[in-house]
Parts: sequence; structure tokens; C-alpha cells
Amino acid sequence: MKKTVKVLSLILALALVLTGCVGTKVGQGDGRDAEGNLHISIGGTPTVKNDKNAKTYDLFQENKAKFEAAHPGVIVDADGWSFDLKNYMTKAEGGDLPTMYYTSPTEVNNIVDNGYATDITAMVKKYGYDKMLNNEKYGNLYMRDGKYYALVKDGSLYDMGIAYNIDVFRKADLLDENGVPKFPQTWQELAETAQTIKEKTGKAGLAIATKGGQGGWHFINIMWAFGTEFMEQDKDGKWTATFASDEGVAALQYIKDLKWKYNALQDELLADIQVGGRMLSMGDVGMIITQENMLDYYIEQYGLKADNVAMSKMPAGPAGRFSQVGANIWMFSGTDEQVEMCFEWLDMTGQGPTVSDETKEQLKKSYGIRSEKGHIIGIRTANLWMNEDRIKAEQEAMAPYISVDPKFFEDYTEGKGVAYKFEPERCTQQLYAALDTALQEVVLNKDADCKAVLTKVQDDFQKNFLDKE
Amino acid sequence: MENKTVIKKQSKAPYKKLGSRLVEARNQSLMWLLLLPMVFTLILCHWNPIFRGMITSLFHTKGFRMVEFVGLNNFKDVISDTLFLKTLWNTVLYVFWSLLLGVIPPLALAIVLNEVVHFKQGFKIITYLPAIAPALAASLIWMNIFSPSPGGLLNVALKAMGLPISQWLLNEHLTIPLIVVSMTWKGYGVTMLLYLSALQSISQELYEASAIDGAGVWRRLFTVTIPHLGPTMLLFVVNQIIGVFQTFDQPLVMTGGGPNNASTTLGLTSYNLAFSYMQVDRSMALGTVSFIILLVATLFYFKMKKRMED
Repeated sequence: MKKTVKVLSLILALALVLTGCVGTKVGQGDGRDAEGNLHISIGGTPTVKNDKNAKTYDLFQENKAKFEAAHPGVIVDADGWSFDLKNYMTKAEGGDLPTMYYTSPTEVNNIVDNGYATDITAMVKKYGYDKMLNNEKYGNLYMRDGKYYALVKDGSLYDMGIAYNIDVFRKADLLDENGVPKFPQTWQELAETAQTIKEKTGKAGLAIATKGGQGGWHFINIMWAFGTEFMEQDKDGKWTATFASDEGVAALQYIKDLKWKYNALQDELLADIQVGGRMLSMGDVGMIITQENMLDYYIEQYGLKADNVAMSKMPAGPAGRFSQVGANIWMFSGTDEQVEMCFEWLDMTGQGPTVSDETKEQLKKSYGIRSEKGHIIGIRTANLWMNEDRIKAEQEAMAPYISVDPKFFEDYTEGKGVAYKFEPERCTQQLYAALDTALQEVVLNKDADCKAVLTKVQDDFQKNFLDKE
Repeated sequence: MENKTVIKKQSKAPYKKLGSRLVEARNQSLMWLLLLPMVFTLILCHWNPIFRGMITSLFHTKGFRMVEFVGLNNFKDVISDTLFLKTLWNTVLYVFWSLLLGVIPPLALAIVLNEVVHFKQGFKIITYLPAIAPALAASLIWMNIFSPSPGGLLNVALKAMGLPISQWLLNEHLTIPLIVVSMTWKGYGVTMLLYLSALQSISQELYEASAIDGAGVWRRLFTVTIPHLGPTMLLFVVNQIIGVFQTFDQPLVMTGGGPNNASTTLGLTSYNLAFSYMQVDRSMALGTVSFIILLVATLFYFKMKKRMED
């Protein structure tokens, strides 16, 4: 027994010593190598050339050479890592994040709260971005308490809409005289359209996401349309969930009806957004909720044809027409010196607000590459920058590469009557996961009581997350 | 003379004892030297994260950094979670089904294979093959097999037999057993080979003696085979409990923990807390709770093993 205690004590002592030894390293030092060169790394850029990324790789290498020539002593490194929550914290703790990497707006609060964000306010002001960014409209995406922690990746702004497979609509006899899908104007109309598709083609009318937090993410748009408020803050700063209201229950009932009354949903009901994207691409569904930049992803992943897809704005509900605004967000990890060089990089590569011949050339090249990939070009709905010359430069660069007939996207790009909203601000991922369970319950259980389901989900969300903040 | 001899013997005894101790120490130091890399790796890669996680669970964290000592608050938070009991129960169900589906069929296969004369080697290879399939790929294959659409592999089979199609993974009563099938399928071969080697170590004379005494097949199975397989089965059962108790990847890939949290496990919740919500402190607290439960199970195993050996 004594021997066992001794051995265990020895192991414990060694483990504790090693625990102390294997300390965490935050940050990347001063970012200089042994020769004194300052390094910046750009996340999500190709490190190796292959058939798929040859043009992007070449453009990056060309820009890198140009930048390094213009900024002696600075080296730009490609970093193939794209944001992934699974390894984000490990990389952040190990000082292994790229100097510049992109993420989603949902994560910005978490990244700031966990101390991984770099305050870039000084640099934003130095480079004049603050005067040219549309903060009133999009500030929520990248600002916190008046400080800048992020920038929107140029060209990545989006809002939610409905995407249509034109061929499925044709088979369901749902095209107008111009060959454009008859876009449902209300959620009720959407349900009826989805039902028609199912009846006439045997395909699902609408594919919805229900897992991975993505169901909740899409569902909030419908809940807004039914008049749902998600949470409120009292004068002491305490947050209370409020979405199990009559409006929230009506929104959930709508989803339940899509399944049990209209029989309009997909068979694979435990689905993330990839399932809907794959089904749309393969002509197995008529409609999905999505945003414009996801269509490019589906083109690359599942072979969606740009000339077989259309988009409309979000349908209206009893409380109006709402769409969630989002973007890919650049965040930074490094010294002021490194962050400043990142701003120089953004400017040189045409991703900043200033307009020069170089900017125009870069924008043109960028659209050229997207065109070769078969992306949907020409349906930009949102402008990040407020300066007219920048907006004009973008439009001119895009013009030669427009790949779709505007009539299929006008309803979406014009967005008449749409109120744009940001994601709920507290415990966003947890809220989405909670709403997932409500969606799963009502689409899988014909007898589910929407009021009881949503009240349970709200109580759980309140007790498990908001009360423990 | 006699006295002298005794004195001589007595005076030499401590030297002899010291000498043998030195030899023993030299032998042991060599043994410890050989063990050192393994012990070092064990401490660095196994014990270090366990202790680090336990310590972290007592702090409020920012990322992985411990910023404030909060005592048992994180434990209070995870245990008071409204889904904790459901998640714990689910995890127990995973263990139950994995024991049912992962212990008995490979045992039956091993017993049959033990009697087979021809193609034994080929059968072993075929049974072992799933073990080399990557876990993620295997999960994706099973997802297609269990697809609830009319085109799902099992549903096609049901339709061909004129039976109604099933929701499979979408049915919250079937989700856990079906995920367990996909998990244990990979391990059947290995488990079966373990049983087979244990079966082959049983003396044939015992079977012959029991046959002479008039014991039939079932009698021989329960009086000779099973008792001799006891230690192997116990080891396997404990390993299975420990492994399955930590399951998170299969439900993560196949159902995301749904439908309606019906397949969520303690491991998956711990994973989500750390890697979806960046709440490392609570994740570590839940991990520690799981560790304590498994520690109790392991101690129980040692006690049972000792009793069996006695």
C-alpha cells in the first residue's frame, strides 16, 4: 500500500512539474526572424499550387513579390489555415494564428471575450477606414464598445434570401412568362409553393437545416418575420430570453406545418446546411434558405450550375420581412507593426477603401479568377464602403465578368421592404443549438406541442447559458 | 568452533544482504531506465492533461488561460445543467448497448470460428478488415446505410421486402443502438480475435472430460468455455465501458447529438463546451466528472479481477 502511495505521489509530482513546464505561449513575439525580417501571414491563402487553386496561388505569389519589393524587410507568408473552432483556441494559445485570418461574426464576441482579439482601432483611424466604412449599417459586425476588433473581408457581405433550382420550378410549372421562378412573397406562399413542388415533382419543396446550430441560425429569420424578440436586458444588465412568445410559437408552428400539413420538407431531417446545398445542386429540392456567397461554395463543392439558380429576398411574415446580415470577418493576431503591414497588404491587394490603378487592377484579377471558377458574379447586394469612387471601381471591375442574368436575382439584390438585422448578441451559438432541438422536435414528432417545446428550450437556454454568463 | 562459525555467518550476513540489494538495485535501475521513456511519455501525454484539466476545472478561464479561482463553481454549473442527467443517461445507454452488441456477437463468432476447420484464416481477415477503416469514413458509410430517405440502403431493402421504410437515426429510440452498431462494427474483428486466442488456450482435455461426463454443447459452453473466458471478458467489458463512456465523434458526425438531444453524450457536451462555445473551464469540469465515474469503474474492475484471481 505504501509503495502504491509512493508511486502515485511520484507520478503526481512529475505531472505537476510538467504541467508547470508546459506553459502556454500567447502571441507571436515581435514577429521577426533571426535576420530581423518582419513576417506577416495571411490566413486562408494557398501554400501549395494545384489544379484547383493555380490562379489564386499565382496571384498571391505575384502580390507577395510586389509587396515585399515595396516594403523591404517585410515578408508575407501564405497560411493555408481557415477558421475552424475545433483548432482555433489551440492555435491562438500556441501563438500559431496567422497575423490576419477570417472568421464569422458569430465568433467575434467569443474571440474578444477570450482575449484573443487585437484592438485595431488606432490602425483603422490611421488608414482612414473609419471615415469610409459604413459603420451605421455594418458596425455591429466588427466593432465592440466603440472599438474596432475586426474588418469585413471585402466582397463577403451577405444577407439571407431564398435560392431556387430553376429546373425543379420548371417541372413544377412554377416559372413566370419570362422563365423566372414565381418567387413567394410571404412565408405562407412559400409553404404552398413548396407543397406544389412536392406534389408535382416528388422532390422536396424546401430543405431546412436542423443541426450543428445552422438550423437555429436560419430559423431566426423566420422568427423575426413572425415578430419574435429573442432576449432583453434589464437595468442591472441581466439578460432574459423571450423567444417562447406567441410570435415565436407561431414561427415554430409554421415549421411544423411545413412537415406535417404541407409535406414539403426533405426526408433527411437531421441536416446541416450542406445537405440543402447538395440537394439544390443536384435538383433534389426546389428551395433553400441561404446567402449569395454560399452559392459559389455549392458551385465548387457540388457542381451547382450558375444558370440553373435564382434568388429572391426573404418572404414576409406577419411582422414584416427580415434578413440576417453577415460577412466573413478579418481578425488580427500580432504586434502593431504587423497589423500595420496587414493594412498595407489590404490596400495593395485592392481590399481596402482607397482607389488607385493598382486597386482597379487587383479587383479585375480577383473577378477574373472567380469567373474561371464559374462563380455567380453580378448580384452584389451590399456595399461595405461609403466612398462612391470605391463602389464605382468595384462595379467596373465586375462588369466584364457578370455571369448570370440579372432577372433571376433582381428581387434579391433590390431587397425592397427588407429589414436587415444582425444576429442576437448574447450566447449566439448556444441559442442556435437550442433552437435546433426545437426544430428537430417539431419536424420529427407529429404530436409535438410547439408552445411546450419552445418554452422548454427557452427555459433550458436561460438556465444553462444566460443565467451563467 | 561452532560459535565462531555462527559469529562469522552472522557478521557476513549484512554484507551478503547488501550485496544482493545492490545487485537487485542494479537490475531494477536497468529496468527503470528501460521504462523511463514510456513513463515519461505516459506522464507527459496522459497524466499531464488529466491533472491540468482537473486544475483548470477549478478556475474561470479565458481561452485556455486560468484567470480566477472559482472553486467548485464550474462543477455546479455543469451538474445543474438541465441536460446533464439526460446526457449522463444517454452515455449509460451507449455503454449498455455497446456491451450488448459489442460483447455477445464477437463471442459467438469466436466460438463458431474455434470449431471451424476450413477457411479459418480467411474468415479472420474478413472479420478484421473493418478495423482498418477510418472512423469518419465508417460513420459516413453508416449514415448512408441508415439514411431515412427512400433511397437509403436499409430502406431500399425494406421496400424490396414490401415493408414500410424507417426513420432510422431520426427515431430517438433507435438513434443510440444504431450509432453503437456503427461503432462496434469496426471493433468486432479485434474483439473476436481476442476471444479466439483465449478460447484456444482452454485445454481440450476439459472438453473431453465434460463430454465423457455427459455434458452437452450448452453445458460445456457455460461450465467450461465461459468461466475460462471470464478474465478476458472482464478486461474487454471494462475497456469497452471506458472507451464508450468517452464517445463523442460518432454522434457528432452522425446526428450532431440529436434528434432533440437523444444521442448527446458527456463527451460530446464536453467537446461542444470547449470547441463550440469556448468555455474551457466548464468543459474541463465535465471531463473531470467523467474521469471520476470511470475511475470508480476501473477500481471496481481491479477488485473484480482480484476476486477472480483468488
